[in-house]
Amino acid sequence: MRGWRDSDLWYFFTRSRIAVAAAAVAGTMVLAAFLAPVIAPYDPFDLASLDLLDAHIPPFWLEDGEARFPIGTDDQGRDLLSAILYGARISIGVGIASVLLSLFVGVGLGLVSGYAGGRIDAFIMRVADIQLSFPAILIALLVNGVLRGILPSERQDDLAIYVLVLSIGISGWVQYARTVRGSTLVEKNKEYVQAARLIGISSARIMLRHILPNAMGPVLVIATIHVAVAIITEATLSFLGIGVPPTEPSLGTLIRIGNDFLFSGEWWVTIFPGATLAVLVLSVNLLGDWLRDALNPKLR
Amino acid sequence: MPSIPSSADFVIAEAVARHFDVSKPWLARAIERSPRVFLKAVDGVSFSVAKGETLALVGESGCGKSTVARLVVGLYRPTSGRVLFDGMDMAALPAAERARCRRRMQMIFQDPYASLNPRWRVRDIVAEPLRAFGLAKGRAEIGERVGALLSQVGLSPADGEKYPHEFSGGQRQRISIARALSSNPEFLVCDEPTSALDVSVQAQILNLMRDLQEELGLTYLFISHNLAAVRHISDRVGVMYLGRIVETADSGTLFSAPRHPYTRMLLDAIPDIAMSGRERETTGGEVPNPLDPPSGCHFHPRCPFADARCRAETPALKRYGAAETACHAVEEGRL
Repeated sequence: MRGWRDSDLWYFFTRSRIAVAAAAVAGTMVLAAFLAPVIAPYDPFDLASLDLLDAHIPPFWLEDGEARFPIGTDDQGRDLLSAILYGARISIGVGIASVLLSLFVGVGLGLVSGYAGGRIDAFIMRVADIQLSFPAILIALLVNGVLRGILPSERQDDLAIYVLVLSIGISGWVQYARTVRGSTLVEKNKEYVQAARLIGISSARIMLRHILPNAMGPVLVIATIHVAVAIITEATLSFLGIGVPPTEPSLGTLIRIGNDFLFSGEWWVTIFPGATLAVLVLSVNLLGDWLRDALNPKLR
Repeated sequence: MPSIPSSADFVIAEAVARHFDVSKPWLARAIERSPRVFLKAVDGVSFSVAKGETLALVGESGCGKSTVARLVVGLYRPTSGRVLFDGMDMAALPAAERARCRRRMQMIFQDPYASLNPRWRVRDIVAEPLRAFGLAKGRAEIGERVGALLSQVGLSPADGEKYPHEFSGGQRQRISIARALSSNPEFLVCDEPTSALDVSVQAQILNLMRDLQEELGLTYLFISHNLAAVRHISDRVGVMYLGRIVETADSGTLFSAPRHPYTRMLLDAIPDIAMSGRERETTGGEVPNPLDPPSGCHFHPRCPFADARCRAETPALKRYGAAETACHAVEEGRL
């Protein structure tokens, strides 16, 4: 196996300053988020350590600021820096998990749709068309509402994250299914697939071992950009108050909490989580854009 | 219509037909009140191949040659008629025996750039039939077998580590042949194996195929539009036109004394380097739309000898000396 350092993708990566910078920023943020329990000064989930007297403290460089809380505290006396680190962990986790779910559902249905053809294909693609006629956020709201209706109310806070992942995941599968179906339609008529059918290889094996690896290129690009979209969707749902509970705030929840105090001059509660979200999404998007161009031979 | 196959025949096609449904989707059909449309890609083709022999099928693009190839190996099911392989009808066999049958036949494809999975290493491509049929067990045995196969087709065993894009068209076709040979087949269907290659490489591949035939006693069904390649490799030739066989003869007879007007036209289309200045029968026109083939003999709109009977009645293959020809003019002695 030739190492990935020899691959042309790595070469193009090192030649693109934007890609390297975006990867560095996104990488640092993801690392910081997942190391939150180690590097965060406080545990914002530990209700016992919170003191309401610490609430509404501004960043340290302002009047009344305290060095204990470098970028201030929110209305419940949580250290904002810690809350953002933990919140980013939830946001990134939900984003990646829901993209993986979309990927799994969409790639699976797209493969079957393209390979089987006929009525199965028509059915799956009509369902996809119907879903595409609604905005993704509406689908996520719908799934979220249905799931919350089914779940017992006392367990809703525990399961809120899974409900979020499921609703964002289901709202995003269509793009993958269409892309993979398109590639499958091209690949399945190629002679190497016929050579496999000729010796009696099963359809499932042909789809997974032959067609899938040849259909994954565009899917990777979509998935990267979709991570940013999923993080935004999570933030939107949490901002609307139907995401993760305020006791375990994600970036979206923090922005919503801060929004209530924005007009009383406590800008830091909403601006810092908002800026974190913007930088994170921007860097992931830049990475995705670069990947799309790098995998497109016409743009090299 | 067909000649009666002798028991020595290894592969027999009996009035095989394959029609494709190329209608518009039902909604469009319902709105436009258009009927279902069927493309008769292969329309009652019969032939037989004896063991160790090479039968070539020639014809212009779109005449159904490749469909015949796919029918013979079982990639398509015939709409009517049947294909017998060593006396067995593949389509009617139970699954276990069909798998055993599959092992004995293989196919070499036209496009060496599409017939090898670009994400697989060559050793895995060549080993796929070995694994599918359980012909070799364990890494060491499979690796050894793959190495031997690659050497057999003129590549190095070390080439197994590479990916298909690292090879030229001719080398890829060698890999394709190695894959086809890996299950020890007795019958190889070659669907235009040289048409995508440079002329200089075509001869190498044809010679390799001929050497392998001698060495392994293979039987070939060789599909091509390249008459030079056909002349080089085949024992017998069938000429196809719009889904039907119009003439079959042994290679020597067909090239020296073609009877069917279409065969003559094909042979006259070969440029001759000697510049003999001999008269050529020119036959103009294009292949008609296969969705709406001409009545009677499909060739009559382009045939200089056509008369009223040719337009009305489909000619049957009849034996004239060493050849079988489906032509009213030949039958009536007008030719």
